[in-house]
Amino acid sequence: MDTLAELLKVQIDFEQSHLLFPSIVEWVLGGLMLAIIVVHGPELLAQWRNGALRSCLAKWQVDKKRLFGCLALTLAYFIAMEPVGTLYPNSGIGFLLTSIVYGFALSRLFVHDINRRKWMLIALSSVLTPLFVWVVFAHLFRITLP
Amino acid sequence: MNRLVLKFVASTLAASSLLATPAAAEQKALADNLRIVIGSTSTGGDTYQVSAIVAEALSKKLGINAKVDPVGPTAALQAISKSADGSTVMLFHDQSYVGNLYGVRGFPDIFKEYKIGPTVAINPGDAFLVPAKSPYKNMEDVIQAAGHDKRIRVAIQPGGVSALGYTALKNAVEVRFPGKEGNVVPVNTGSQADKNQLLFDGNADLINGSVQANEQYTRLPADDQKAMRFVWITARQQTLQQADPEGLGQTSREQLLNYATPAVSVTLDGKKNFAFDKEFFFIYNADIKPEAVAAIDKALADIYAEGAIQGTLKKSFFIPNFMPAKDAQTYLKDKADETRKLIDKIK
Amino acid sequence: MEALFSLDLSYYLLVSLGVLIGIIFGAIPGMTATMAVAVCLPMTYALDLNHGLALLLGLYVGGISGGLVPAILINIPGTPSSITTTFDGYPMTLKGEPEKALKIGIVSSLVGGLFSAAVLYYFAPTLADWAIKFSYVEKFLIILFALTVIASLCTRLLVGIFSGVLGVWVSLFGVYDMAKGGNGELRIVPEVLSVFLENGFSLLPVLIGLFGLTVIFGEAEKGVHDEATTSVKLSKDKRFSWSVFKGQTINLLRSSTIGTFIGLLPGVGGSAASVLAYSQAKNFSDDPSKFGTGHPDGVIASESSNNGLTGGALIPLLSLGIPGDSTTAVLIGAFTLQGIQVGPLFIAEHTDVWNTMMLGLVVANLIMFAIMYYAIRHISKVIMIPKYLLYPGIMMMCVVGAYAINSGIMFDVWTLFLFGLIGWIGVKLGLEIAPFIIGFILGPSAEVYFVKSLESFGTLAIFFTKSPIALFLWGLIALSVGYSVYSTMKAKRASAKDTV
Repeated sequence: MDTLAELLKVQIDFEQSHLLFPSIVEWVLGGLMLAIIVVHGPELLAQWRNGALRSCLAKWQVDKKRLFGCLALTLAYFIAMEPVGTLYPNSGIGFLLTSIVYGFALSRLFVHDINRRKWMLIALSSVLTPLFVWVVFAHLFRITLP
Repeated sequence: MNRLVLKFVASTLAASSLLATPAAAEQKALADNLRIVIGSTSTGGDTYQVSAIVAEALSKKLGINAKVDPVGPTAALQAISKSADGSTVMLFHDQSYVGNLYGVRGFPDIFKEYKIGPTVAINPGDAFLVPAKSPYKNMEDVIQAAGHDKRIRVAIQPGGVSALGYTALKNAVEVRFPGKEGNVVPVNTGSQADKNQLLFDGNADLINGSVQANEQYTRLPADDQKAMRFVWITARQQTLQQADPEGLGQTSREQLLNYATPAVSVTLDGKKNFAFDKEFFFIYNADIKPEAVAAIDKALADIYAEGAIQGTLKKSFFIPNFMPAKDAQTYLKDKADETRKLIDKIK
Repeated sequence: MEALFSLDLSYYLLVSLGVLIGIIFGAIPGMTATMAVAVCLPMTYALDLNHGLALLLGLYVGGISGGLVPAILINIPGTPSSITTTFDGYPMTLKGEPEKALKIGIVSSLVGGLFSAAVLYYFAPTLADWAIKFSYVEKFLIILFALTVIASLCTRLLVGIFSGVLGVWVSLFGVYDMAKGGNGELRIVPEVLSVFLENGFSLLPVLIGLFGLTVIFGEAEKGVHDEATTSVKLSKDKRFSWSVFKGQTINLLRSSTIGTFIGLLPGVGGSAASVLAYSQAKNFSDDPSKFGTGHPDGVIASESSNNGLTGGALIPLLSLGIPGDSTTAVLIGAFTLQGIQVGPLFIAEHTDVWNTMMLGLVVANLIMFAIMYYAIRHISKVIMIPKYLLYPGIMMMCVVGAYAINSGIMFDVWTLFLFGLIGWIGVKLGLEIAPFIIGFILGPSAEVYFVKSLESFGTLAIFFTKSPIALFLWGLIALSVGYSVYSTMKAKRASAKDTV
C-alpha cells in the first residue's frame, strides 16, 4: 500500500507546470494515432491496393472556379479590411467598404444563370446588407469594427 | 410611452454617432471615435469600471465617442502601438509595469516603449483575508508564525499587483526573521472564485482578495464555512482616508483603516511599512502627437475641476486621483523604481 | 408577489426589448448572448439597477434561446451551447420539418428556463453551499466525464476520440494563462508566432469557422447549385403538434437538471451542459440509433439544458458573487457599475432587487416563448433565401462576431478563416467536428483543474480519495465509457451479421 502511495506521488514544479498537461495530451494523441493505424490501417491499405480509394479520388468533383474564387475573395477581404479601416479610424468604415465589394463579388461568383432580376438583387443586397449591419452593430451597439 | 424607456432610447441614440455632429471644420486634436483599450478582458472588473466612468466623462466633455474595449494587456499594447494619431489609447493600472518587473511574458518596459498618460483614480480595495476560524488574528500573528517555522500558504495570482502583497510579506519576514522567508509560500491561482475555494478547502492560510469582492464574506456568521476576516488592506492610509465615511457595504471607513498601515504593520525595511496604491492611468503610443496628449490632459483637468466625477468614482469605492501626463510619468517611474527594489530583493 | 404590481410598464418593456435584441444576437451566427449583454452594458448607465437588470436578463435569456434558430435552419450553431442542437435539428430541416424542429426547441427552452428559475428561487443559497464542495479535483472529474461523453457522440470510436483529444491539444496553444493561475509561459506555439498566438485561439472564431465557413467552402466546392437550402414543401403531417412532447417529461427534467447543475459550477463551462444532456438522452433512449437523424428527443435535450443554464449560472453569481458562466461574468458588471456588491449576503440585503430579478427572469422566459413561437413561421423562411445572397451575409456576420468577441482583434478573423479551412479539409480526412470542438471547449479548464489538483495535493491518488463526490463521478465516467464501448461492439456485431 505504501509503495503504491509512493508511486502516485507527484511534485509539480510551478515554473515548468505549463508543459505537464500538453505533454500528457501529446502522448495520448500519439497513442491514439498508433491505434488508428493498427485498426484502420490494413483496411485503408487494402482499399488503396484494389483501387477503391483511387476511384473515389477520381470521382471527387470540384467546382474549381467557385471554390478557389471563394477562397481568394475571402482572403482578399480579410487582408484589405484593416488597412481600409485606417482611412477613418475606429468607425468601422473598413468593414463597410470591403464588405460591399466582397458581398457583390461573392454573390456574382456563386450565382447561376444570371439575369437582370438577379443582377438587381445582388447589387441591392450587397449594398444594403453591410450598410444595415454597420449601422446596427457599429453605431447602435457600438461594436468596434475594422 | 413611459418616461424611463424614452430616456433609455434617447440615451442609446445619443450614444450612437448617427446623431453626433459631423467633425468640425477645424483640425481636431482627438479623433471623433476614441477607442480606449484596457489591460483586462473582463467587463466586471475594476479596470473596466474606472475606464467606463472616465470614457463617459470624456465623451460628454469633448463631444466625441469614447468607447472602452476590454482586450487584455498584450492586445491593448499592440493596438496602441499602431496608433500614433491618438485614436486608440490604453487605460490600465500598475500591473502594466509590475508585470515587467516580475518578468512576465508580454509585458515590455512601458516607460521605454510607450508614453505614460495622466492618472485618473486609485482602487484602495486590495486586501488579504483569512478564514474566520483561522488561528491568525492579524498580520503580526502571520509574520510571527512564519518566523517560527510555520508554513504560510498565500493564494495569489502570480506576477500581478496582487502578488506584490505576497512579496512584501515575504520581505517583512526576511527583515524580522532573516532566513525564515522561505516559510511563506505562494499558492498560484487565478480568479477570485478559485482563491476563495482554496480557503474553503483549507488549502491556503491567507488569500488575496479585495474589499469589494470579499466584504460580504467577512460579515457571515463565524460558523459558516465561507466566513472570512480581513487582516490586511494594502492601500496607503492617506488614500483610504479619502474614501466616503460609509466605506463599503456595511463596513465603514474607520473599520477599514484598522486593516491598513499604520494599524497593520508589514515592514519594508524595519522602519517604514509597505503600502501600495493600485493606480489607474493612460498609456499612449510612444510617438503620439503632443496635441492629443494636451487635449486629454486639458479635458480631464476640466472634468476633475468640475467635480462631478469624484462623486461617481467614490460611489464605486474608487479614490479620484488626477495627475497630468507629465507629472504622472515622473511619479510612476519613481514608483516603479521603488517597487523594483522590493521585487529584486526578494527574488 | 407584490413586486409584480409595484413595477411600472417600462420594466416589462425593457425585458421585452432585451429578449428581442437577445434573440437577434443569438440567432446571428457569430453573435452570442455574452456579446449581447456586453454591448448593452454601457447602455444601462441611463437606467437604475432594476431596469438595467430587466434589460440584461432579457438579453441573457433571449441570447441563449436565439442560438437554436441558425443551428436548426442552416446547421450553424448560433452560440456554443447550441452545438448539439444541430445534431438533430438540421436533419429535421432537411426532412422538411424546420418549423416543427424550431417549435420543439422553443418549448424545450421555455421549460428549461422556467425550471432553472424555480431552482434558483427556492434553492439558491443551499445549492451555493453545495457547489463550494466542488474543488479542483471534482471539477476536473466533471470535465473528464464530459470528455468521455465524446465517445458516445462519434461515428467511429477511435477517430472520434482522436478528434476530441486533438481539440484539447489545440485549445492549449499559447501561454498557460496567468489569469487562471498558470505561469504565463508559452508552449506548443513557436516563439515567432507568439505575436498572434500569445493567448491561443478564441473559442467563438474557431466554432463559427468550423461550422459556418466550412459550410460555405463546402458549398462553393460543389458549385452552389441549389438556389435555397430546402425546397421541400411543408406537408400537414410534418407540422408541429404538442403530442411530440408525450413521454418526454423525463428527458425534459433530466436535461433541465443537467443544465442547471452545470451552470451552478463556476468554471466548468456552459457548453458542457448541452453535450452532457444530449448524450444522456441518447444513452437512456430505447433506440439510440435514431439520434442524429432528426430525432425530436435530441433537440429537446439540447435546448432544455442550455436554457437550464441561465438560472443555474445565476446561483453562484447571486449567492457567492462568482459568475457561473461567461455571460453572468459580464452581468456582474451591471452590479458593480451601479455600486452594488454581489456576494453571500446579496439576497438577504437586497431582497427587492432579488425579487425583481426573479420576476425578470420568469417574464423574460415567457416573452421569449411568445416572441419566438409566433415569429417562427417568418424566421424559418430564412432557408428560402437564395444561397448566393445568404452566404455573403453569413460571412459578414461571422466576421463581425469574430472581430467583436475580444473587442476588436484582427487575428480572431484570421482564426475564422483558418478553422474554416481546417474544418473543410479535416472532414474529408475523417476528422469529427463535434468531438473536436467539445475537446477544444473543455481543454483549458481540464488543464487548470488537473494541474492545480496535483499542485495542491501532490499525489495522483487524490482523484480517488478526495471525497464521495469524486467516487460518484468516477462511477459515472466508468458507466459512460463502458456504455460507449458496449454500444460500439453491439453495432459492429449487428453490421457483421448484416454482411454475412
